[in-house]
Amino acid sequence: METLDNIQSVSKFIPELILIVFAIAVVISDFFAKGRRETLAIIALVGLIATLISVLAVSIGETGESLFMGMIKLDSFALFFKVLFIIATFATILFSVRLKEIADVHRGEYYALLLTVTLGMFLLASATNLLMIYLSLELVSISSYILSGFSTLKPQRSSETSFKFIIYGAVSSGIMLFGISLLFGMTGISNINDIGIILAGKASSPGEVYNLTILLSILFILAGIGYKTASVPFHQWAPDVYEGAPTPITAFLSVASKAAGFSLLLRFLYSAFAQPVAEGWSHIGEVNWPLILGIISALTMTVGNLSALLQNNLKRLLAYSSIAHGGYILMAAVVLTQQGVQYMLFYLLIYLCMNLGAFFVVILIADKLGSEEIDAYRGLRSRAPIVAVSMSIFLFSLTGIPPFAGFFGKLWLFGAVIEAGSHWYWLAIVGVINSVIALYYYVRVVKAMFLEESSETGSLSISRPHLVLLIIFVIPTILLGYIGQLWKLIPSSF
Amino acid sequence: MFILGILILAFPITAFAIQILIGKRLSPGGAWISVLAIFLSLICAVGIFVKVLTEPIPPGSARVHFRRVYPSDAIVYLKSGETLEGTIVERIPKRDVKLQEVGKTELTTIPVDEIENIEEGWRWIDLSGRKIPHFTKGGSGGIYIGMRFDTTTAIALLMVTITCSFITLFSIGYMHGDPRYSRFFAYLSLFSFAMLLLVLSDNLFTLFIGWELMGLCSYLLIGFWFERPGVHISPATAGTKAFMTTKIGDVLLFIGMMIAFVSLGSFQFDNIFDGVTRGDLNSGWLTVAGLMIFCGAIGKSAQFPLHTWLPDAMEGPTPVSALIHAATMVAAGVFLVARMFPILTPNASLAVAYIGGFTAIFAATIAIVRMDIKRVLAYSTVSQLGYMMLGLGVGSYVAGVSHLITHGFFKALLFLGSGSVIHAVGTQDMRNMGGLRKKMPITFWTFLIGTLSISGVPFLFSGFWSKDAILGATLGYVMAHPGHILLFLMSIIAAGMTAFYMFRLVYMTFFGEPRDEEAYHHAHESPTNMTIPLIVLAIFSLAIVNPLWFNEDFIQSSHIGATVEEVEHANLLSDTSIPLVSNSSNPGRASAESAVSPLGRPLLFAEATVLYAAEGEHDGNAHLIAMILSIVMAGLGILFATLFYLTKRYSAERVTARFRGFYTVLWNKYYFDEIYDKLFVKPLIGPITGLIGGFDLSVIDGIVNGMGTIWRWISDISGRIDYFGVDGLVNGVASVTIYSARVRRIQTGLIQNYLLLIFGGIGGLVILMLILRAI
Repeated sequence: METLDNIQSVSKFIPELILIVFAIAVVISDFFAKGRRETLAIIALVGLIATLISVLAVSIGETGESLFMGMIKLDSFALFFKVLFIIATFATILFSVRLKEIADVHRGEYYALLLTVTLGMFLLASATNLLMIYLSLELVSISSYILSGFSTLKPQRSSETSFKFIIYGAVSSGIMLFGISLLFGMTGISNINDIGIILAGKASSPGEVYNLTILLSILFILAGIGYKTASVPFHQWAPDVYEGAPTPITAFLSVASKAAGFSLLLRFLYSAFAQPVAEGWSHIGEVNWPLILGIISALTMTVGNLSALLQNNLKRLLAYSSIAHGGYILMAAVVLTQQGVQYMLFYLLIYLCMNLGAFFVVILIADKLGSEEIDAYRGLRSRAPIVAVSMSIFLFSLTGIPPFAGFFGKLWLFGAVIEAGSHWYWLAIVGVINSVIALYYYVRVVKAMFLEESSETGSLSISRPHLVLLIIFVIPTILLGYIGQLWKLIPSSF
Repeated sequence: MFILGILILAFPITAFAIQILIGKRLSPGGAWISVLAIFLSLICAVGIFVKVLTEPIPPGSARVHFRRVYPSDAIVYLKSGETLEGTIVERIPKRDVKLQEVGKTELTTIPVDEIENIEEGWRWIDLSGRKIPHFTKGGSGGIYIGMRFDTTTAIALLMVTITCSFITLFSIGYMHGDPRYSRFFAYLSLFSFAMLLLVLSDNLFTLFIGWELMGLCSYLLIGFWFERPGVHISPATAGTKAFMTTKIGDVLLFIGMMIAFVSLGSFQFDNIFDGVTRGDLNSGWLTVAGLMIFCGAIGKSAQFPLHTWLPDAMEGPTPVSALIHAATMVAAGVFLVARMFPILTPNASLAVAYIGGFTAIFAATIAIVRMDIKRVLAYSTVSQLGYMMLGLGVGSYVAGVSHLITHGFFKALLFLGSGSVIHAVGTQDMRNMGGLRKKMPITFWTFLIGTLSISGVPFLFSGFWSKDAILGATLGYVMAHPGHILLFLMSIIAAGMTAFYMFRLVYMTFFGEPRDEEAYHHAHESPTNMTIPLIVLAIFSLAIVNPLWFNEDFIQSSHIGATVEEVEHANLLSDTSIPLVSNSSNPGRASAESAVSPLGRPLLFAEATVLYAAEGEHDGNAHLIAMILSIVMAGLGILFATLFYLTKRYSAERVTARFRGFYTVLWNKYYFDEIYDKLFVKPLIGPITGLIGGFDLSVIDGIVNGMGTIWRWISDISGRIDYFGVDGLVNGVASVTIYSARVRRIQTGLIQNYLLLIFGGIGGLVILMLILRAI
C-alpha cells in the first residue's frame, strides 16, 4: 500500500502509455494507409492486446500501490475493470470493421478516439484523487461526445445527438464539480481515502459535520456519476444518444462507459463517504446515502423497463433495457458489503457479454436489412437460424431466465439485497417485479423471430467471421454462471 | 450410466431443435428424425434397465447414512451419529473420498471402487457459504442437478420410451397431411424430453422444470387443431382449460417444494428424506408439504376435484391423448407422489388414499354413460389414476408404481386403438360404430387385449396383477384400520364398473350390426405403421412379458427398501431404548412429539405400513381375498356388459329411462363443469379480463400518457424559468457554436427538459431525504 512518486510510477504506468502511443500511431498511419482502412483497425487491436498484456504484467501481484503521489491506485479492482474495458473496446472495434455506418475517411479518428476513451476509463477506474477523477471523467466524456456523432446513416441525427450529449454532459459534470468543491471545502484535501478518514473523524465528534452539506455534496457528485451510468434522473441523454450514435458506439456506451461509471461510484462513495467494517462498509455520519442509491436504483429500473415496453425500434428498446440494467446493478451497491461489490462486478461481466452480443445482432441485421425495427426480425428463425437462436439466448439472459448467465447474475444481485436484511426487501421486490415486466418486451422480439413469418423468405448470408464472433459472445452467456473458479478472480474490495 | 442418461435426454431435445428450426423444410420426411431420436433414447433406456437389473444396489441395511460428495468438497466431515462403517458415500465425479469423523483429526480415505454411483450430477447453483440462513440450514446448501438411476427410474424410463417411441411412429400415419406436420413432431419430441427429464431427476427442481415443460406441451398439443370447432368444445378452449386447471396444482406443488427447500435446504430427494429422517421438519409442516406436493399431482393426474380438464383434453389429436393424457404425463403426478412417498405422513397419506379412491369410483360412474369413445377412455384414465393414488395412499409403493407402468402400456394401446377406429370411420361417437370386428381385425384383437388387461381379467394380463396389488394393499390397510372400510368398497366397486364400461365400449364398437352403413363401408384396417405400434403395445400388456414388474424386491430396492431395514433395525433397538438418530441437540422437541417413535421421531407412513404389515399376517390373507373379490367383480362387470350390449337381453334404454334423473346427472358429469363455470370461471374470468384490460388502459396507457403530461408540465415550468438560465445557457452555447437547423432543433427540443430534470431530481431527492428523516 505504498505511495510511489512520479518517477517510480512511470514503470507501473506502461499500459496507459501504450494506449497513448497506439492512439497516436493510428492517427499518423491514417495519413499513409489511404484505401486500406483495415490496417487502422489492426493497429488499434494490436495496441489493445499489447495493453492487455502489460496490464496483466504490471498489475498481477500488486497489492494496491498508489501511483503519482496518490493520484491513481493499482489494485485488483482496477485490474478487473481494465480487462473489462479492453474486451469491450476490442469487440467494438471488431464490430466497426467493414461497417457501412462509419465513413471511411473518418476511421483514423474513430479508432484513435476509441483508444482514448479506453485510456480515460482506465484512469477513471483507478483514480483516487478528486482532480484525477474529474479529469478522467472528462476524458471519457469528450471522446464519447465525438464518437457518438460518427454515424453516416442519419448524419443530421447523429450530430444532433452528439450535441445534446455535450450539453448534457457539460451540465452534469459541472454539477459534479460543484459537489467535489463542497467536499474539498469541508475537508481541505483531495485524496478520497483521506477524505473518508477525515469525515469519519468529524462524524465521531458531534456538531462537526454538516449533514445537509454532505447530502448535497453526495447528490451533486451522484449527478456526474449517474450521468455516466445513465441512472434516473440523470438518464435522459441515453435513449437519444443510444439511438443516434453508430450502433457499435451505442454498444460501447451501454457497456464500457456504464461499467466505468460504476467503478467510479463504488470507489468514490465507498472511500469518501463510508468507513470499512468487517466484510463491508458503513456509511459515515447520519446521511443515509445508501437509501438514495436504493431509490435511484428502483427508479432507474422501473423507468427503464416501462419506457422499453412500447418501443418498436430494437436499438431504442435495448437502450432502455440497458438503463434498466443499470438499476439492477445499482441494487447491490446499496448494501455496502464486499459480497455486494463482488456481485456487481460479476453482473457487469455477464452484462458485458450478453449486451454486446445483443447489440452485435442489431448491427448485423441493420447491416443486412437496413432496419432496426422489431418487424424486421420477423421470421429470422428460418432466414438466419444461428443469429436468431443467439439473439434469443442474449435476450433470455438479459431477462434473467435460467440456465443462462444473466439468471445467475440477477440471482446474486437480488441475493445481496436480501442478505442485507429486511429493510431492503422492498428493493428486491421492485427488482423482481421489474424482471417480470422486462420479460414482456424481450419476448416480443423472440416472438417476432420465431413465431411470426416475414414477407421475404430468402436466407440472410452472414459472413463466417461474424458468426464466429457471435458464437464467442454466446458461449460465456451460457457458461459464465457455472464457473465457480470465476469468483476467485472477481475482487470484492479496493 | 451417466452418459446414457445424458443421451436419453439429448436425442429428443435435439430432434425438437431440428424440427422447430428447419422442420418445415424437411417435412414430411423430417418426422422420422423424431422417431429415430426417441428410438435411440429407447435403446439407452434398455441399457440403463439392464445395468440396474444386473448391478443391484446393495441391501438397504448399509444405507444408514448416505452422503453425496461434490467436486468442491475436499474433505467430508461426518456428522455426529454417523460412523465410517454405516456411511455410504457417492462421489461426483467418481474419485477417492476423504472422510473425517467428529472429534478426530485423521482422515480416512475411501478408494474409488467402494464408492456408490446410483446418482450422478453436478452443482448448479451454489448457495453454500451465503448468509441467507435458510439456504444453508442442513442439506447441501444449493441447487444441484443430477440424475437418479434407481429401479423405479429404470422401469419408468423403459415404459416412457417404449410408449413414446411407438406413439411417435403411430403419429406418422395418423397425422399424415396435416399442415403443421413438423410442428406436431417438434412438440412430441419436446414432450418426450420433458417426461424423461422428470423421470431421471434426482431432485424436485429439475423435476419441476420437466413438469412445467410437459404442461406447456400438453397445452400446445391439446390446442393443436386450434382452428377447428372441435367435437365437444373447441380445442383452443380445451387447451386453455387444461393449462389453467393444472396450474392451480402447480402453484401448490411449488409451495410444497419451497416448504421443503426452506426448511431442509435442498431439493435433492435424498437430502429431503435425510432431513425428514433427522426431524428437521416437524410433523405438521411435513403433512402440509406432503399435501401441497400431492395437490400438484391432483392437477396433473386429473384427480377429483381438478379432473375436469382431462376429458376435454381429448380434443387434441388421438396420439396426443394416448401419449400425454393417458400413458405418461398424467402418470407424472402419480410418479411424483411415489417419489415423495417417504415424506408422506399418515395424515397426508390418508388424504391421498381418499382422494384416489373417490376419484376411481367417481370417474368410473361417469364413464359408464359416455357415448364418445375417447371420452370413455378419458374417464377411465382418471379412474385408473385414482387407483394408483389409492395404492400409494394405503402405503403400497410397489402396487402404485406397478399399476402406473402397466396402465401406461395398456392405456396407450387402447387410445391408439380408438385412434385407429376414428381414423377408419371418421367419427368418435360409438352410436355410429358397430361390427368393426371384421373390418379391422388387428385393431380389434389388440384392443381386446387392452380391454381384458384394464378390466382385470385374471392371470394372463398385466392389469390384473397390478390392480390386484392395489386392492390387496387396500384391503390390508382396511383390516388394520377398519374405520376406513369405505376405501376398499370404493375401489372394489370401481373395479366392477371398469370391466362393465370397457366391455360396453368393445361391444358397441366392434360387435353387433353396423349402425352407420356409410361409415362402415368406408372403414378399413389402418396402415402398417399404425398397426405395428398396436401389436407391440398389446404384447407389453400381457403379464408374461413383464413378470419383472411384479417382483416386489425390484421396485422396492429403491429408497423404500432402506426404510424397511431401518425400521426393523429400530425395532430391535427400541427395546433397549437407544435412539438410532441422535436428537440430543433438541431433546425438548423429541419428547414433544407424541407419536410412537422407535426412531426418536414420528414414524413416517412408509415405515408405519411396513411395521404393521410385519406385525400381523393381514397382508397375505388380504391379497387372496382381494384377488377373489376382484375376479368376481370383473366377471360381474363383463357379464352385465354382455347382457346389455351384446346379447341385448336387457335394454340399456329401459334402464336409462327408469333412472332418468340419475342418468342425467351422470351424463352431465355431476355438473362439475357447470359448477366450476358458475363458481370460478365466470366470476373470475370476466373481472380478470376486465382488470387486465383496465390495467392496460388505465395503468400502462396512464403511465405513457402521464409521462407526456409530466413533460408538458415540465416544459411549462421550464418556459417560465427560462430566464434562470437553463434555456439561455443552451441558446447561448448553441448560437455561439453553429447556426444550423440542427441547433434550432436542439433549442426547441427536449434538452432543456433533460437538464431541468437533473436539478429537479436532485431537489426531489433532497426533499425526500428530509421527509424520510434519513439525514
